[in-house]
Amino acid sequence: MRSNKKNLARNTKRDRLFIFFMLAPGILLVALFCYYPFLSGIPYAFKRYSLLNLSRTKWIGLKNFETLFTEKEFLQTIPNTIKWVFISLILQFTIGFMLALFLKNKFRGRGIYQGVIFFPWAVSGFLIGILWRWIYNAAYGPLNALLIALGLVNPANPIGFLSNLDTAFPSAIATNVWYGIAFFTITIQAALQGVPTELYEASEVDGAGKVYQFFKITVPYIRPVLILSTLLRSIWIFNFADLIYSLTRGGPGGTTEIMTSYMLNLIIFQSNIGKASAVGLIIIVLLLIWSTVYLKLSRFEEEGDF
Amino acid sequence: MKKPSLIYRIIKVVILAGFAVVIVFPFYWIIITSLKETKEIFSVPISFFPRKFSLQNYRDLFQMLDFGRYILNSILVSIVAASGASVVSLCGGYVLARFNFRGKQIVIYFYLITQMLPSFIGLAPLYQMLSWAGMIDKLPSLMLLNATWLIPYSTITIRGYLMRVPRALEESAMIDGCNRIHALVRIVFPLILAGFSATFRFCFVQAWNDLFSPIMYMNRQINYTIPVALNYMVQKNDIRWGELSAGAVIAVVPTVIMFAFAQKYVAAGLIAGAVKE
Amino acid sequence: MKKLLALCLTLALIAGMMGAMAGSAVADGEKVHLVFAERYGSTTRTAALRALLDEFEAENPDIEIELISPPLESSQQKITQMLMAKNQLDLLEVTSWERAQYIENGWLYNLKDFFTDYAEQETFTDSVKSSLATTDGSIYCMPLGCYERMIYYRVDWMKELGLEFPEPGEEWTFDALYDIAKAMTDPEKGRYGWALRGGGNSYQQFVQQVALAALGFDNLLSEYEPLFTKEGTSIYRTEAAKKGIEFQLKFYKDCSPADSVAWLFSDQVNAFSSGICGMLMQDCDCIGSFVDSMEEGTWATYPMPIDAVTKEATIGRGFDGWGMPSYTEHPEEAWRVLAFLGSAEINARFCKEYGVIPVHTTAAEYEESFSTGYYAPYIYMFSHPEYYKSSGGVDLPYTSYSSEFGKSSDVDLQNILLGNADIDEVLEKWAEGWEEQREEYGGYEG
Repeated sequence: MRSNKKNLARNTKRDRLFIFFMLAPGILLVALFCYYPFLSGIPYAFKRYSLLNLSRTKWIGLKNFETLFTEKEFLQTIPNTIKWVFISLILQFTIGFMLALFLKNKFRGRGIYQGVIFFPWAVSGFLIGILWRWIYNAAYGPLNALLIALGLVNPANPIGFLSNLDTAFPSAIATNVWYGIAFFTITIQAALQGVPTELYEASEVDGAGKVYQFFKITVPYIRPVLILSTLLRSIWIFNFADLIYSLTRGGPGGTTEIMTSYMLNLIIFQSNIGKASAVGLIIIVLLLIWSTVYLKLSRFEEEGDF
Repeated sequence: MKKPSLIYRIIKVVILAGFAVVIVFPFYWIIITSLKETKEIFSVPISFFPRKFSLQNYRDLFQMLDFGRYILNSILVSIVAASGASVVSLCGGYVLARFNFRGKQIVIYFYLITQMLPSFIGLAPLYQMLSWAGMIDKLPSLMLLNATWLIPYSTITIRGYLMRVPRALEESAMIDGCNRIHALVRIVFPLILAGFSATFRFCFVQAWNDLFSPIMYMNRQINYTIPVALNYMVQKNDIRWGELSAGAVIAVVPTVIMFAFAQKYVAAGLIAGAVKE
Repeated sequence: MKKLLALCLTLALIAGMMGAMAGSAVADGEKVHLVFAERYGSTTRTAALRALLDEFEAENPDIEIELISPPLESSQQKITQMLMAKNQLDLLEVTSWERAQYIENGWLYNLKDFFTDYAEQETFTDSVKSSLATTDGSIYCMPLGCYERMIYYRVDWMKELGLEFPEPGEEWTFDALYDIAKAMTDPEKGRYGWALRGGGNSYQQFVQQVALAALGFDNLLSEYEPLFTKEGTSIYRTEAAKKGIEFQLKFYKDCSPADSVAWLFSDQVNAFSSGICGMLMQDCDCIGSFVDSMEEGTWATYPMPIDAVTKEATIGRGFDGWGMPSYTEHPEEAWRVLAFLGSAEINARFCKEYGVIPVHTTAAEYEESFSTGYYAPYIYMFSHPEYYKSSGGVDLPYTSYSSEFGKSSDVDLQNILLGNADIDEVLEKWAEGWEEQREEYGGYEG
């Protein structure tokens, strides 16, 4: 890795062509289908643009942003989103990591178990939302029925998971964690399998215990994977609006509304593309800041990995 | 290696079993719902096991909709998109892992930033671009779009795995006379098989579960995929849980197979890689 | 390894080609190819519509119709994108939620000239006739059906508890409804009288109904603008609106499960069919789903109640319809399809399949079920204008605000039901919202 810097001046012409051709297809496709539409859509953020009356479209500069930052409903989504991302992420990561460690060594039925763990990813987000909506339902949902059968809940007073102002957000997070564990389990497990066993054997000779091995060998070795997967996952959690939409519609009383689901509402219920695009821009700026800070803090660059 | 103690193993089994139950319960619920008759699904008290087994939901699903066609479409789109994205990402990831060149950081951020772009902002321009190119209502468009959206995640992730493979291996192979691509495919690739397989599986399920693109960019029913059929069951005042569950059970099957058996394949690849070393 | 990569690439190529061949659009020889977009697609409805279109194609061999039915949740977005990109679209379903928007954007073809010779319109119901044309005489839709709310209730529970509704008319008030719902409620037994929909357009449950009924038809600005009073202010400034909210609160606290504050359409319907709740208020298209999920004889329908003081209730005019995009290249052929779908017999058959109220007075001649059974409440409501006043049905631009209002009022109502908001503040906010809209886009000038 130290040799990277030395190679800077030494890419041959052949190498440069090689680099170009290996990168070109991906970059072209992404530029065409991701960046071009996005950049075309940015101007809307500065316009009054509603699908309800297209003829009244006009340039209004920063007005959309002004409206958003003085709107109670939008401002409420900021703390909601922060809680949503961080709590879900930390829980998913910890549990996923733990499961990955358990699954590191081969045992009978491990393959089946991995298939089972991955169930939540096998269907679309909307289905997870409506399924859990049913499960959490206090009147005819299985979760309450189970709790009543176990004697933990009074039948006349079932727990309104999604209808109680205090339990709705934790319930949504629980569903999100249920969903996201698999990502970390599979990713970390794959990374763990790449750790050369010689490293462990060498350290055992030196008398290292399991905990030492874990923190001084395992974690540093898979660090790039950990950092990247956490970053990506945090961005995806941030953008997981369809779960909120199908699960709670942002309710009750707006307690589970996050920034991306708020943007979804603007599009679906208000047809206000201008304002929605403004929210979109705010989202991108926030995520950019987050990514930069996160990568700097985790000293990703110092490893020479960037 | 010392054999883990009995207590450790018991704890491990308990925890693993516990998680399995929690993860699987909603699917257990879907499976039994798919086997219940419509009248029993919502009748109270709730039954955790069908009082009366019925395959009517599965029959209805295939009768009401061209579900077999949707399964085929989903498989095609997912395999092609995941394969295409994986191959492109392997190429791109390799170059980003091995070389240093001006603009390397830009490329990485170029990919990373796509993950942050909310898809709705570009919807109308993208739709109009596809429409202008005559790509609406053609299945390969779905393949292309999904592959494109998967490239950033795959490239970054595969690059991560590749960076852990020492350069020395392919450099010595190249000294022995094979070119870079050979080295990549024959020597490096087997060593990242576990990571590549995980990434491929993720790409597959992302494409498999994509609901938005088929609805937006496909018109006719013969071009729909499984998620669309499932979403179709959400009606104006009601959700047809019987047929929806049946469809969901079928939708889950390929993923489960992929993940359960991928492990064996990956292990075989690792052994092969070790032997080469 | 190399073999695997090669295999993947080959697979990709083959699949791509297969997909291309399978997915390419088919346009036949000399037939005119029309594209029809459905908005409320569902398995039964799409099948019914397709069957009718097949019938039409058989009678009109020079026309071929391709039906696009995106899933309901995203159909509005899909159709909007098609219209904005000017994809080929010749026929589309236009519900009352979008019509104002489409007209405002000039997306609909004016059918006025086609209608001058259209004989079938003679038998349109009064409600449809009065809302068919806009203020300048333009007609944008062929009516397909009307949605009206009614009360669904558990017949067996009523028998068991010895309850009985008052006869429809003077005695059948909202208070009477509340009494029955309260009598049905027994949380120990897991039974509730009412399935409230707290989470999706909740204001339509009681707030708006009771507000309009209590206000009285004569106090409305006009029959065309039922959301405003004679003074030109929003109905949400009146005492009647406050009564509406308090009524909803009463029902929530005393007759409905605590969970219902977050219930959407499907939750409410499922609560009824699973036997948790004894009554609910919903559109007529629920009849179909209840027929499927409940035993016959356990449930029935009843007309909407009226206000105890004014002895009135409002029912909405207006209809959902079929229209043509303004840029269609085949208006003549598309009109033939519209004329077919709008005829009394075809309309009756389609409405029967789907559970909407047909638009012709002669519907019962073609489908007996419209005069009896589950549909009977509508016959009653439509034939007693002394109690049930019709209003609305004009697509003023400000009516597009309903969609946004529905979402924001849900949050407010949930907060009220959960004790987290002040009723007067909320009403003030709503009133301001509506008045702003009306001021910006203008009222009825006809």
